[in-house]
Amino acid sequence: MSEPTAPKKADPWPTQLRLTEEGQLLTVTFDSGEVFALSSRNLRLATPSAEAKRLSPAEREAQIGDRPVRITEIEPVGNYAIRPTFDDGHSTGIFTWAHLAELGRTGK
Amino acid sequence: MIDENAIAEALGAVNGPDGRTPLTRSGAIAGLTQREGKVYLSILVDPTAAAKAEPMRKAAEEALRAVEGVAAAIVTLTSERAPGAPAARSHSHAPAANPAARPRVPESVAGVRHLIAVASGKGGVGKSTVAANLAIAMAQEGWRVGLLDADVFGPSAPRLFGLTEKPKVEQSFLVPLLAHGVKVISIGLMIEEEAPVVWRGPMVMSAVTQLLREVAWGELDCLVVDMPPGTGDVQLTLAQSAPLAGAIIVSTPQDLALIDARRGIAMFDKVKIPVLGIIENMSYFICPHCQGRSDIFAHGGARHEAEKRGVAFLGEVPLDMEIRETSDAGRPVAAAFPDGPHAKIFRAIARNVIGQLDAPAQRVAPKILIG
Repeated sequence: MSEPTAPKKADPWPTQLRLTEEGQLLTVTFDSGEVFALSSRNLRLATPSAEAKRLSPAEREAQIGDRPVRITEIEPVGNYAIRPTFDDGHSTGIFTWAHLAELGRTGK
Repeated sequence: MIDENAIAEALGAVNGPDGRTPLTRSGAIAGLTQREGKVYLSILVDPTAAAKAEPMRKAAEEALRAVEGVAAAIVTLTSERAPGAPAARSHSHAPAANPAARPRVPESVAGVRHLIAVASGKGGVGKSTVAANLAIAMAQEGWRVGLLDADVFGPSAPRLFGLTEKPKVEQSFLVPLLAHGVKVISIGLMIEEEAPVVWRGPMVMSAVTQLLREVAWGELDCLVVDMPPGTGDVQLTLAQSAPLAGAIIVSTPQDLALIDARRGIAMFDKVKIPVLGIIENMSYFICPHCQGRSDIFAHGGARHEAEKRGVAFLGEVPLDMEIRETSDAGRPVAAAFPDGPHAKIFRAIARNVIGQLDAPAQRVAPKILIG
């Protein structure tokens, strides 16, 4: 059984998402005061999409190649996530706030 | 896609709330979205001057309808900005400032201030009856309320609200029916009562999206969504496509129902929708003959669960003939006997919910800025 769902202080909540560098950099500000600058390339590599789950990190790298990756569109998903569209057309990854925080904290 | 510049041009010809500045330069555009030839615009106005703004609303609607490719336009007046909407952006002067990237405007439902869901883990706990009475009670508290029956497989709203006529379609928007002070829409209004809905997931999802967005709700303080039981397609579609302000869980006190209520709470937690509270339905039974009380499904289980999960306990609704009879007769108890003991329970719950919705939201979805 899971613990009570009541107040979860550790739960990261973003206050702002900012896309700059012509779509190559997503800066996420959390209410904890943490600010993470995530490159669109790393986000693309870390996509939680089911389509990419079967790919190894190396395969993901190979799929994207050496070019810079841009985000062309960001769609909010309810209260809990975003769904970015990348310039290679990939748009099926739903990034939750927790996932974004994790990517930031692990230095991706 | 309708040409955004054409829309901006059309709106530039309409005077904004002050009667002089073009709408596009007035900073009063709180939200502008389009979907399959339909344009939704909300204009920010001072709530006290809403009546005076009506001609402007009409003018904007007509201007939009004249734009090529626009099949229908809905313009609403709002006193609040849609979350994430730009504060004051001039559409006419900076058309597509950064064509490389653009944020999608969060698709809140045009004109609806708060969207809440009434859900349960298990079926048969009286969720639709509670949702109907809660909506009526909120309307009695002075709110403009709508009820969306999202239970596409077992729609109950037509029976509960005593509705038999089919909703009209105006400019390709469904017009909700008004009953007991609540605007109601349900898939059940469009099909025969005995006809089954035999659909796969994607059809259900698109039906729910249509019931949400392609209905002329007008200005509402609250839209109550009566969810189907469980944690499936409909729940996920709503959680992903609309910013829900909160969810209310209905459960009977018995353990079997509470197990699934827990799942419901956990699901809303996953998609970051706050649980406004739990209502215990069929909480107790007062014998009409001897006045003795029987706790048919045990008692207090939902309250206990609410405490354990740290969510509000909203109230106990008894198992009572009057509630059942009025529901089946199309006049829910809150409307049929507004001064009766049961109506009082729903009014108290309604006040609690209104209070929670009016309080400033703790956590709203973040702003998405581009550039």
